[in-house]
Amino acid sequence: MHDCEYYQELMSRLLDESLSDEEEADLREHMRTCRDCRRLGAAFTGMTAVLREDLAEPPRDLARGVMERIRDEESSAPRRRETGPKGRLRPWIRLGAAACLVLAVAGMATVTLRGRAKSAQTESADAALTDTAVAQARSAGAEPDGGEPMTASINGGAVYDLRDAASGAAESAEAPAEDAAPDEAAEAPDPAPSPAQEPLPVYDAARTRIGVIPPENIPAFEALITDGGWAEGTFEYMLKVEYNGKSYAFADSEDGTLVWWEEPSTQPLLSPGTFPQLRQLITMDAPALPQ
Amino acid sequence: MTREEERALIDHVLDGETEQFEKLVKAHEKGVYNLALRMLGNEQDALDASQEAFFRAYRSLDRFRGDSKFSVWLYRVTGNVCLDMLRKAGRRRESSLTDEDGEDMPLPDERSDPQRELEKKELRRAVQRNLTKLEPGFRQALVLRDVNGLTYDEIARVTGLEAGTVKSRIFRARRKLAALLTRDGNFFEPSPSDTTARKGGGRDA
Repeated sequence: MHDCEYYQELMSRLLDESLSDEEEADLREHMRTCRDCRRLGAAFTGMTAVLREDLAEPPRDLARGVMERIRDEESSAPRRRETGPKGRLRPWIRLGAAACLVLAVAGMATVTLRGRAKSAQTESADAALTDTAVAQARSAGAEPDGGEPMTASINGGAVYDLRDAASGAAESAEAPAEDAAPDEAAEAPDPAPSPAQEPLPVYDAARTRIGVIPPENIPAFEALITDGGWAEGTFEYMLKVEYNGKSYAFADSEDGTLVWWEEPSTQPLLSPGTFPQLRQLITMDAPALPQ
Repeated sequence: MTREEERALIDHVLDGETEQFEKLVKAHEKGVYNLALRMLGNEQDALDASQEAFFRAYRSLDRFRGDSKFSVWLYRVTGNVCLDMLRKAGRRRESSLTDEDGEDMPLPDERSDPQRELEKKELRRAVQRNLTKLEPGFRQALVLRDVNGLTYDEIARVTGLEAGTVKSRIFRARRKLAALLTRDGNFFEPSPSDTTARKGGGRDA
């Protein structure tokens, strides 16, 4: 015997057509005898009909406004993609590349960068992952097996020379963009127009901005990154950060911000107060970023 | 537009045919606008948020990997824009955005008899008014489901939650909304055998 709460959740799922035949029969039997659940069911049905059917027409000037803003943007800063495969960078590529530099120069790590075909072209990313290119970081005196391997899956970049990447990071924090074709990705990266000079906003999982990483702190943050890769089935690019023997995760969001990653169904892996070094790196009371 | 056509269009835009982006805007403006409208509760903010979302999507278009529907990706961008706006509004003044749509407007206590159209209109207004009282993360899940028609799995992708959490959030959002609507005097058809819960018959019946 289930309680009403159980049946009320079934009602909600019935609206979403995610009930089994048995569950539906069970629910209907319960509804027959339970007035409260019938009333709630009627409320669910009524308000859901409003939400599903009562759609507004978008204003006519919505699209026009978007296109005008895009034209303004294009006239001042055209999209760079047509100039080559190395377009705008995700912050994590910059972070990853710079982290490579830090570790390579320190001679502490073997750095493995796995090429991954562009998923739009190759849906079987697993197969692409076997096409792994290993670039070992050997700056003068570096022992490749001297530390924990650092792995970064970069979407689209196959062969990826770490020293180029590292020097690119040193000069410009630039690295091959995710859309780079495999044979093009080995080229030395283009310099980018000072991408690392912007503060990096950090949000919590509810998209509340908890602060920014000021430009001068980004290298120190980068030094903590040990891994990165696409989280399966999400839009998230995950960054693994290690500190004091514990691992923490950040998610890169699609608008170039960082999100403290909250593991599903668990407590947040970290809150600003639990990670002193990161907390110092993230300015908690920074003024709002200009839009 | 098929997914392949959409992908081709995106590639054209990425290759410099900026004007092609307008087709993508036109194809998705209704879903984006209605998501924003339900999240924010008024038309001006919804327009602003929609335009901002499309603009951010344009700038980030090379990050769209094509392993989900473009609309789902767009809704994620839109949701983040809306959550940002709600947060900023909350800082400025408590719920200035969310309570704008007639919060202080008194509801008629008695409804003249058959006016079902009026009732329906009132219900629509009440749904929006009370929707904006839900916690934004719950509101987002519910709106993505009922307004945008996303599946639990798609909503999980948009929000970064597990599908099970999405399911439970939607349920809790519905239950809360139903409670608010009932408290607000918006009664729903009682079952035929139910004599105490007659429309207008009493909130605590």
